Amino acid sequence: MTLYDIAFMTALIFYLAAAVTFACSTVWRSQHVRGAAFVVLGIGLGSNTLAVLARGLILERWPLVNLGEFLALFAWGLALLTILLLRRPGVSAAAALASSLAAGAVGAAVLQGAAHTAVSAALQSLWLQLHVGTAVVAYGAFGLSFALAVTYLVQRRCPMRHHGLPSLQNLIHNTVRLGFFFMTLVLITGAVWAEQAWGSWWSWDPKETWALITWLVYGVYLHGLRLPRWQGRPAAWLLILGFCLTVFTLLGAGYLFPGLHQY
Amino acid sequence: MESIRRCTVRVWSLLCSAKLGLALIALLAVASAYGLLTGPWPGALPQGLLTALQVGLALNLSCCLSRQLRAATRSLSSHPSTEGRQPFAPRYGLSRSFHSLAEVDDFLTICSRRIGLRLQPPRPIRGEDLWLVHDNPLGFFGLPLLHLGLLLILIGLTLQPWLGSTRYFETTEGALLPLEEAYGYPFSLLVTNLDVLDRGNAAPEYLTHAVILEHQRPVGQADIRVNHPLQRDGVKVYQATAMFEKKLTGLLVKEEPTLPLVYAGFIVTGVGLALHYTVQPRRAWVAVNPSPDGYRLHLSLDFASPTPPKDGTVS
Repeated sequence: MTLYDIAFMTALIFYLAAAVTFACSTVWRSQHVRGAAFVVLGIGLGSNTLAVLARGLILERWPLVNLGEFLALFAWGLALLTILLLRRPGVSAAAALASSLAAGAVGAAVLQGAAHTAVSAALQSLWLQLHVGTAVVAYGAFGLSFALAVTYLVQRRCPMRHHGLPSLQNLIHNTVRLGFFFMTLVLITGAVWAEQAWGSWWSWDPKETWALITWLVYGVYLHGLRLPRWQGRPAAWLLILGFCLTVFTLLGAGYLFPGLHQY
Repeated sequence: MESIRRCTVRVWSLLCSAKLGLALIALLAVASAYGLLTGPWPGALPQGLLTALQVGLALNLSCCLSRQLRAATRSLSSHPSTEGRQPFAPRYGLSRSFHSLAEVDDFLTICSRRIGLRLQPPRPIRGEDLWLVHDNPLGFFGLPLLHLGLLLILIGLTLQPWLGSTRYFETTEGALLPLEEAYGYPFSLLVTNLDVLDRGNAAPEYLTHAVILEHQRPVGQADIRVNHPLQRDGVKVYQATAMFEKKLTGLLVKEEPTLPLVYAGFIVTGVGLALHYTVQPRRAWVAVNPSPDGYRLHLSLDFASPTPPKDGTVS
């Protein structure tokens, strides 16, 4: 086992432990357990960082090239955003779900294996770092907004927790705004890079088309907030749809449809 | 005449509406998904439908943009119309009576300190006044810029098939690519050599060395490889494919006059989004009118926090 594998397995274990600890803090409503969950998540994030750095050092390149490497970074972004944005009390359930998602992403990355991928000529560009870097934040924020939307729907069914809904909606809104900003940058950096590498800034390639569809869905969410009828439950369901599309763009589009994004 | 005017207003409202924009965006998303599911893009989707959706969205964006620009410039004006309505959806409202104008001025001073926005009018209060104050004026242009950027990108995307041209050529070492004579491009290319760059762990990278010819005279040299296209006189030549064993190179020659428009759209979109998210403008609408017991002050804010002192009537 390499340092990379050990760090990755540690991250997986600690993300799972964080999910369980956050779930316990939701049930027991204990601030101490919640604090411990953040510490566990922090250790998972540290291990994830170490795994990504180790892979980069071993391969002597940026570890941003294939699906496994991106999944590891997605988990990293999601865990980091969870620590930064979900510090306030009352959202431990969302933190538990986000930690589970991070664990799932790391698990999928482990399943992908640590096989070395030869970097194609098109990927040897500064735009790779910008495109994937912005995608990590965007996808992480969308993952977090999904966890918050699910929490919102659950809390709506529980009358005792209705008082916290407006601030939860506000948090969801800010998370989506963050994700939308970075998703816009993902599309722009990808378009500029595609123009340099493939000669066309927009080719209706399956992955870029699904990324556009994802962006459009979040655009619909942000526009819909101006209409009172769209707020609340419909908006939360739209975010769940948006995250399903995000996952499909990441995992499904490349496998199901032949295209230029075969990484 | 009245019916024409009403009809025009109705059409304008429809074109400006967020609902139409949402419907078009949703249709574009569904069409994109359907187009992908039915084979290589646009699959079974008629090109005309896609263009119609793009044009519809461009029209909607233009109308939204004009409405947003109007709202932004109205917000910047310190002398709004005397219609008695605030040019924004208020999130906080206050209405209170005072015995004298000096009391009104004192109250506005206290409010200004509390909310961190100067509410006093640009000239002394005379007893029947209406004014608008704001901070961070750049923030008003975030959304208009975002929509302008998207509009530029959409125009570039829609016009590209008509204004641009793309041709693919396969050629061998030592062969002349008569772009100028046969296709009317501003130059031709003489492929002198096909090279392969060994990048260690990375996949090999192909490189086409060429001499640029204008009117059959060499005017320069070019090394064309992936991510590093040759760019000259509005024409770009990209390294597309290569079969090194057969000494065969594939070059994509592209003229795209709408590209600067699209890149401008990218920049404007990014700036607009950054402005919209980072610079939060605040607006206050203040009206002072004579009343039986002195003067009545109406204050509307487009933000809910921080709020003025609570010793007033919140509407």
